[in-house]
Amino acid sequence: MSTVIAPGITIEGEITSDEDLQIGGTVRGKLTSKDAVAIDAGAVVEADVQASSLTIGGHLVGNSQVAERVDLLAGARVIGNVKAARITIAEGAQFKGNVDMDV
Amino acid sequence: MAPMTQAYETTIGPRTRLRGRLHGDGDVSMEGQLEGNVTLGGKLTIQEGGSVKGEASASDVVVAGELEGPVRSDGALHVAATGRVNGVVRVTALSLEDGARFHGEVHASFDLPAELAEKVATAGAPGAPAARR
Amino acid sequence: MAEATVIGAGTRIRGRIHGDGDLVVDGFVEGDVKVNGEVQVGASGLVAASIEGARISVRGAVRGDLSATVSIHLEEGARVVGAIRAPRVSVASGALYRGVLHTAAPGEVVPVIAGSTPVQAAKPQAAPARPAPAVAPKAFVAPPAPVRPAAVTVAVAAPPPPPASAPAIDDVAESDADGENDGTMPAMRRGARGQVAKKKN
Repeated sequence: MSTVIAPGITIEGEITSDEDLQIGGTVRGKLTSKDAVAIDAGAVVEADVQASSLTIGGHLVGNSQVAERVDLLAGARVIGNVKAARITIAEGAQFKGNVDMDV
Repeated sequence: MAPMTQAYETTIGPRTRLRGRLHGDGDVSMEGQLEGNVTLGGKLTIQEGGSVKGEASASDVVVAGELEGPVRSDGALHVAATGRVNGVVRVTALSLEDGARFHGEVHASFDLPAELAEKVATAGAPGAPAARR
Repeated sequence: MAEATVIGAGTRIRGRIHGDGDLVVDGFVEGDVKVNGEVQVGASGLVAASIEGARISVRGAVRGDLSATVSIHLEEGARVVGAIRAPRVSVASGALYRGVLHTAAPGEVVPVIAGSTPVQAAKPQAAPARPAPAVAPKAFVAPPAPVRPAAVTVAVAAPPPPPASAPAIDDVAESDADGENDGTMPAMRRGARGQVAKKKN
């Protein structure tokens, strides 16, 4: 297993990771992963995010830079700019920001 | 994608580094590195290979990895044989496995048997200035 | 432990104990202990002084510094106040301890303890964990003018006291709980209160 931040846990600061990251709690600051990042429903991330892929079911406030794909699931709420090769936005997701798909 | 209702525990993986503050309820298993303070309502377990440099406060603390900083707990601090601790320790109970490396100032509130306590009281008379400051 | 010296449960020693061989303390020793073998402080054992040996194991109560070249084990039921230093140290759950503990050989340079800032340390040093137990017993023990022949030497200066029974040990707690004379060092008492205060919050 890799890194899991459960609901009820808050991290304020900088996270640097070479492995999968699953967030159910709160993260404020900066999040850098070379692997996949999942922001679960109920999670709150107020941070700039760098990841290989990003799945968002919770709340994200911050800019994200993702090597592969970003998926905004139903219930996701994202405020910030997204830079990614691919992006999907499910029905029911909220998104405010710019998308930069590096073509 | 785990639904919110699913019970899951916080694990900071071996290839993850945190800088900052980690706090909240629930348990945390630290296999990676944290530079900063931890304040938990639950149990903090620093696994072998994991490390915390900062203040640690939790209901219970288990160290099989490395902890450098003051430790506070209303419960117990257990240092496993692989564990290393350096810090001022204020806990209700301390246990240390043979092989653990420990450099610490341990504060604990308990009474010695009367015979030993009285000795100090008596001896305190001549040595009192030092003892009473 | 074939030739171990045994201080029985009904025996009280006031003075230094030193020499070769092993030592078992089931009684009461007021005076520094220094042997090059193993020291066992039994469940009924009480020691008000520093102990040096190769191996030390404690089930009883000690006020004083423990120093061993090999190992120190605090077993369940042990109550120890003082500095501890040995390459290997174990503290069983159910043992009570306060003081400065280093897993290091006697004389080895030890790292600065994180969080024990010079400012903080300055105050504790005047009284708490380490110095008090060391100083107090010594001052107290000096008068009996110990004898010092070879082998394990014991200077007896007082008759056997009433046996140090377990109930007596437990009874202490109350009278000491609020008292000034429990030997708790100022800094520690402060620390203890701090914890309690925090719990209330």
